[in-house]
Amino acid sequence: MLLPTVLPLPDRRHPERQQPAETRREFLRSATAGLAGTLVTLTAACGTAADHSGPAVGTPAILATLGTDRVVAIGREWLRRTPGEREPAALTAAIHGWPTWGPWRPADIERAVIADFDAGRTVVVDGWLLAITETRQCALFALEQG
Amino acid sequence: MHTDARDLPDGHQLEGDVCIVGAGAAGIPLALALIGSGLRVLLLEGGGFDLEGEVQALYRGEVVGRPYYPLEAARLHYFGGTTGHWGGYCAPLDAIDFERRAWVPHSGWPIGLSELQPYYAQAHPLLDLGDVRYDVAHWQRDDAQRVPLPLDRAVLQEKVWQFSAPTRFGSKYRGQFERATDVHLLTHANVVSLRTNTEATAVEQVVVRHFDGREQSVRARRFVLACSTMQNVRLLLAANERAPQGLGNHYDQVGRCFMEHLEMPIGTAALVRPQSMYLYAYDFGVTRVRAELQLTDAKQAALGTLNATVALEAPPEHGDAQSTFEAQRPEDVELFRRATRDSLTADMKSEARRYDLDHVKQRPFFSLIIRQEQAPNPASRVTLSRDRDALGLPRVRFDWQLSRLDKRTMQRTAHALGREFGRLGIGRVQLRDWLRADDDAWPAVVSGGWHDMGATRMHADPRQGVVDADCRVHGIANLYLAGAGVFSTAGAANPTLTIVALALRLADHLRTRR
Repeated sequence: MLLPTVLPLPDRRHPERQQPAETRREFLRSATAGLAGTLVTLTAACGTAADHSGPAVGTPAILATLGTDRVVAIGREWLRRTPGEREPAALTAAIHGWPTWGPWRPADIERAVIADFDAGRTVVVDGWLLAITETRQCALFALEQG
Repeated sequence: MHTDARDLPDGHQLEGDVCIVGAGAAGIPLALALIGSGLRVLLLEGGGFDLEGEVQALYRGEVVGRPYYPLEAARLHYFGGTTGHWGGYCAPLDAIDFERRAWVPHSGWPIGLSELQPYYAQAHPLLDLGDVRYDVAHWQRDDAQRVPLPLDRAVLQEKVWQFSAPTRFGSKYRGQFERATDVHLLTHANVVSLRTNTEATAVEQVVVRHFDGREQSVRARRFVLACSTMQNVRLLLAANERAPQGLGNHYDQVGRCFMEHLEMPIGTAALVRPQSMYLYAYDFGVTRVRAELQLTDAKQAALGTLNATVALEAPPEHGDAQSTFEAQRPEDVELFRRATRDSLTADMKSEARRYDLDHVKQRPFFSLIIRQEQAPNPASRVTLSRDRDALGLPRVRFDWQLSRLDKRTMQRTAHALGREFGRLGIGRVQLRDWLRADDDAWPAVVSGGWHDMGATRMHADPRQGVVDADCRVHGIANLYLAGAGVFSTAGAANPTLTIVALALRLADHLRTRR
């Protein structure tokens, strides 16, 4: 069985596909988790409202699988190939691609990565076939690692 | 009944209804199916019951095109043929393999998958295979550990393989021939010549020659060449006494479109989430069923690719995964044959590795190995050399050539897999250097699976093939071919199951059309 890292979001286009009615225990559990999540988000928003290059952006999800050395190698290769994206601000702007009202969360990034693969916005860097978003994340990570 | 042909006198003549030349993956099932048919069958095998150096040396040939494995190491010249060292991979061809695909020149069989399905079912017990089922759901019911990846099945699907022990035909079926009264097995009976009538429209006899120069002849009403692909080509082209271009070769088709399965590592997959990989894992001598990944028919059409499957293999402990040709030196292949001569040795029947969630958490990397059909290519060709073997038969001259479509298929399949793994959150794919661009570049070693296919392909039109839909040589009334040489296209599946199925179908033809 897969272990999803992102909780399923309500499907606004198809409200009939909502999750089945929750039991009281499940409701309490999810409500508590939601409250904790809101607090984390608010804390992050207060501290870095204008900074979109927080940990979610600068830490690619593939780091957990590929490890630091591979991710840094990918990031450095991207920086070498794209001189216009050698600064964190340029990379962050390229990752976001459009204005946002708050910091990106891991779920936002994951959606962006999947959208990249879906649309064919992929690049081959150091041999890895990657979404352009996560490639730029690798570059940010490489810069942070020095 | 068995006779060692070396014990027969010079000039001896044998006679039967059907003469089968070659007792390997095709000849043995064909002859078995004719036991009790009322036909008197002569089964001629060039070797004995074990490999002999001077017999095996008859298979040496000249390699003039792309580098290839030593010809005398790839095919085995003894009773049982190359089932003496095959690995046991079995799967039927796919429906798309039989179709005329606009993006694959020279594609299309004159028969469809449905024509072969009853014979695949008959072939299963001969190869000691399980249920005639090749869908994941069936095998998942058999073992709940077989969990498929969450694929988008409009793009990627599983190709299920079953594994033979692997059955060694030589040791398994020898006794049946020794006991049979209507099939006469002759070992050390190397055929060097096919003699026809004056018009070269029918074969009248074949000539057997020994190393000491003695000869015998075999007359029959019908003949089947069931040697390896290259040996069948060799015998047809060398039979030029009354047909200067060779038998069945009015339109220069014999020897053309030789095809291999390209079996090579194409990269690495890193799984980003734990997923049991038991369904995809393979341990020799243990695994009975596994799945590999394959582009759907629609996706193959959209991308303009050939058929291919991609295996996810546990990577080697050290270094990069190697191709079949790189990993299997000829001496290793021979050691493997000896170790598995009669059946699997006890130490091979170990417990399968689990490749469960915990395993994948610890080791999320898998080597990606492609098995891909080669596009029919008239320039990929077997002809006759000027050199002759110890029996005086011209050796083969092998010119293996690949095409842009072969490379493009490998490149596009790898990219599609990488994109799907990313899109579906399964993992990421790293491509080998030479696959990163859509060009003609190949690595230093391009590996096949030792699968000789094509070169005597099946086609309704004699201008485009050598045999008709019944496997009868165009223009020769009583000569048939068996083996992978008749494959019109190779498909992604290893050939043995289809070789056996086609042989059983030919047996039906010979039994019913006397």
